[in-house]
Amino acid sequence: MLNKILLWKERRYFWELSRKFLKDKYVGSVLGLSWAFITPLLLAGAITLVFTRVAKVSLPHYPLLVLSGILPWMYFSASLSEGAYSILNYSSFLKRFTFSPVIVPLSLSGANFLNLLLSIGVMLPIFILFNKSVLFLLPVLFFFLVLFFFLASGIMLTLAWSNVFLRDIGHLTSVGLLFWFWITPVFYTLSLVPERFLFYLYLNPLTPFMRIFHSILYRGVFPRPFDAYLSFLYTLVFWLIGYISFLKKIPEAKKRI
Amino acid sequence: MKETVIRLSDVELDYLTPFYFPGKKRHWEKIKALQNINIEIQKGESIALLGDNGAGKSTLLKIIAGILKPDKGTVQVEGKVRILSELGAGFNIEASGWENIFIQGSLFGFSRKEMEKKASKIAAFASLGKYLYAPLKAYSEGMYVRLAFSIGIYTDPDIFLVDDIITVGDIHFQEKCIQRLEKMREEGKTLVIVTHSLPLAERLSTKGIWLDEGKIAYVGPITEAAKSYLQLSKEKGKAFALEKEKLKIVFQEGKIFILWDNNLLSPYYGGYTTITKNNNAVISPLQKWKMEKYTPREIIARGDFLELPLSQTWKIKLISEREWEWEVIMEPTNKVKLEEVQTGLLLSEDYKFLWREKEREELPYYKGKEWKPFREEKDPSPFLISAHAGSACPAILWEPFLKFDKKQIFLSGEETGCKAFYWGWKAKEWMPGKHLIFSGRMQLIPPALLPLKQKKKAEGNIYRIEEGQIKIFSGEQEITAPGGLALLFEYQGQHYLPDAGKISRFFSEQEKEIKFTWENLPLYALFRIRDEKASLNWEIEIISEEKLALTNPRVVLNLLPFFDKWFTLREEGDFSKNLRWFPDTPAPTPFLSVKGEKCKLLCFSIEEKENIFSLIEKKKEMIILQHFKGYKVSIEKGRNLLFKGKVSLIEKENNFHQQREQERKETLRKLQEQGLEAGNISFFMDRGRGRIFCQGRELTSSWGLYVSILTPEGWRESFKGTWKVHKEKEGELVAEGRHFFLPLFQRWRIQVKDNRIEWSWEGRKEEEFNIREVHASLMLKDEYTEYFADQSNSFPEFEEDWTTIWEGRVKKSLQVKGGNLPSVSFAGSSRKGIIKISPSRLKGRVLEYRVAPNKMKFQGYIWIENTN
Repeated sequence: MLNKILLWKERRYFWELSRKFLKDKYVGSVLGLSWAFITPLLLAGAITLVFTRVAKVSLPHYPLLVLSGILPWMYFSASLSEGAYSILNYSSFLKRFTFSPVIVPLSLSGANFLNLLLSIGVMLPIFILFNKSVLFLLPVLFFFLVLFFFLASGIMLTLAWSNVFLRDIGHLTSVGLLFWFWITPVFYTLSLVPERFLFYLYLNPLTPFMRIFHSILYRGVFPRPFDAYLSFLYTLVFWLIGYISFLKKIPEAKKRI
Repeated sequence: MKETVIRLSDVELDYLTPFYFPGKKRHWEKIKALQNINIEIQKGESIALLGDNGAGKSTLLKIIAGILKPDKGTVQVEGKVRILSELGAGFNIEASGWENIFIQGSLFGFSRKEMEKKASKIAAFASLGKYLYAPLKAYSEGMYVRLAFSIGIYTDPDIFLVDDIITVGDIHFQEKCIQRLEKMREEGKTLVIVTHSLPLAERLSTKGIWLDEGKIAYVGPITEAAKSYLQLSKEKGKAFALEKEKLKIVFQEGKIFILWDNNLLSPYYGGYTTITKNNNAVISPLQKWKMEKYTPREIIARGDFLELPLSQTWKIKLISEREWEWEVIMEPTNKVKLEEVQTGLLLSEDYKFLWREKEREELPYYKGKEWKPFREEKDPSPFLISAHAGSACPAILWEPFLKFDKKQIFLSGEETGCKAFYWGWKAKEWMPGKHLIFSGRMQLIPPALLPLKQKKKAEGNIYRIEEGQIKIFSGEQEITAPGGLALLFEYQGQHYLPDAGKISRFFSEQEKEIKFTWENLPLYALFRIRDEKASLNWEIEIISEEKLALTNPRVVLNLLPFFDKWFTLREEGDFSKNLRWFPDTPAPTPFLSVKGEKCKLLCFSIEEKENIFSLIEKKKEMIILQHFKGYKVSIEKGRNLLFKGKVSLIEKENNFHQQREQERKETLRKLQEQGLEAGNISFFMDRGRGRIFCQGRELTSSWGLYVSILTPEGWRESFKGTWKVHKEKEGELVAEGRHFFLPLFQRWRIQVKDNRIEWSWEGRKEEEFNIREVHASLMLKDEYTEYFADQSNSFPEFEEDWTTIWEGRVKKSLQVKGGNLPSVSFAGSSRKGIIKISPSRLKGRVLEYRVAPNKMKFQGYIWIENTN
């Protein structure tokens, strides 16, 4: 029973399919996996350019801040936008293979997660160059990244099944992500935000995570306990909602694909 | 020990489907995909799921596979399940086939190591050649499917579920897959297949489950399940089968499937119709069909077009074990303009050759995806298509009864591999009412009988079919005159000559069927002929669209004038130059035979011994042997067996004559038994003619006692009819019958008392016709030398024609005397007497009375004097 719920038996499919999706993502392109860090670098460069030259943000090593935020954000954004359509796009998988349907969206998320680990791995020397302490914080970073995976996957699972019933969810997700980007402290710190907005910003489940990633990668310090607790809480809530609702709704959804 | 590996109990599943009806908001409807499904499948069983599209077969398969969860009920499956459906899933089109084997393997839960063992087997099975190392995007659809199927088949399932594998690749690969599945079955794996091919289902499985609208309609042995699927579903208005021996015609919702020995000859739509309006083709399977009549021999179904103000009525009729007919009537309710109306037939890829006369042409193999027109023409000759050598499919002759605007052939491309044949009408406005848009028949011909070479008359055969005529040969000499063996008749006062016959069916080299048609008549005749040594058996059947009556149908053998003698059972004679009719009298006779120096004795016999009137006729350059059947013969709607007989050349003439002698005696004995006897006098009715004997010697000659009727067409003697003789009371003989050439019923009553014969004749017109004169006559032997009317006189010499020697009012009677024969007196209810002598060949003295023509009644008395 526990096996069934926790999908322990199916872990192999998760692993195989994640790798497959990752390969599918870059297959045929010349630069291949390099895109895993070229994209965030370019995006970080653009943001830095805009905010240092145009908006005159004056934080020390600002590009480093942007980079430490943009990497997890890109994972999050890709997971959600791909995941929302996972059941629809990969319906044939659900019809051909007998593994649990939850494997498909999770593997998509997994593929993006591998992508994230890869890009962080490549960028790591830069972070370490600025803060040697990052090296020691790596296990903590990994722990929070995994936690982040569950949060993102939880939200994504909810979107994945609901998009089958209501196709608007998919479109809403792409618009929502645009909006979400700006209200998440990806390229800014909470110190730049007026205090009266802080409460609302913390309603965003990404806020504690971004603060954690900024702490570790940008500042090279241990995350603050408050953010850690909050990230636990958010992950638990969103994962449970996503996972349980997915398992409950997927038999119904299968009939519609 | 049996071990249940799949157990479904009370399984139910609903689908929610949105419907977007035009002009309405989307609305969701609950579709009951599966209801109340209870199935137990034992280990090692192979099951076929049968049913129409949408019956829930694939859904059931997915439930067994665990892909779908039932809304209600429980599913227990033990063992590793593999389902073959959604073949494309999980492939990476950028990666090579070889890599994809590993990707798929991993998704099926195999480690790379395990897959390495299997990969080479899979690759070998898929037989992709060098394409194995090319990215999938370079694959054709068929190659793609082959790879997918091969992977599925080699992933060692315990339970293997296959969703319609008939769509997999080319036939060679299909066969390979089927063999592989058979092997898996032998290995004790459990198989569940979904297929629309009943032969395949019967080959692969032992048990069948027939699903109908989500419910199990039948579970049992596969042959039974397949049968019930085909037959029982007729109650639901779906598949209806006509079956005779190996031929099975299945009508299903606007499609006709032809099966021969369980091989499907016409896949996909089979026989169907298509109508084009505004560049939009609507095919008959998309219509709503309703069964109007279903018998084991006939199907009448009506289909309504959903988009057009049209309906179609199809009549499908099984004619024999090799032949069926199809008629399509289109009925527009409004005036409608259509660009094209076509009736088509799709034939499986086994069919390769198109025949024209005696040549065949190979239809090209076409690799594209879209259908490709191959040929369009106006030639009205039937389609004759045959399969490649080694195929079990018979050749198909598709013959239309109408003249069409065009005749088309399409090639359907690699995917289906079909050849499509059409008869069609071009753009035209169709008025409301009934239009026959197709009528024709299809015959299945054993490939061995195709006219590959023009066949010479086979050794020993006495006939050949040439120019649509059945000709008879004696050795290498043709003895038939133009017309050969034929059927003639009159209909509504018109003579009809048949159009040349066509060989319409080959039963075997010895047995053929030839079809004769008559223009403007709703009927045709089939001559079935069968060879035997030195003889030809024939059978004539009339197939009519309606009930009607034919006048004097007769089977005729036209011969060249090689003959100088003729024989019937009772008579014989020489053909002499100026005579037309030989003999005048044989009715009925079982045979007519002629003999000449150039030709052996030819015997033209007929099996029926009653109701037949036979005639030998000589025209200038022709001798005509005819067997008539009745005056008006009613023809029922459908099939009517009219004649059956034989033409033979007789080798042993002596035997023939001995036999004839024997039969003649036998017949005479029988006739005498039926006759009357009193004192020295005896009388019997011989084929409508009264014959009088005294002390065993015959007094009458040729026609004996008879009546003749003069109509505007000429003399019609009473004996040219069918006769039934019986004794109504002791001493009274009654002979009744219908005339052959007049709508006349006749009755004779005869009594013999001592030396007197009292007789009466009565005729009843069954239809009005003109009578100018009626004569009652007695023809007596030429041994009588003198006649007596008002005074005694000698008979003159015979001449070629009839000669009247006396005519006048008779006081008492007409009398003849002479020779050693007792004198005969003849009196009757008329007083107008005539004395004649017959033409020389009949050798008769005739005493005659003229009867009032409006009175069809005559009574007479014959005295025989000096009986000692």
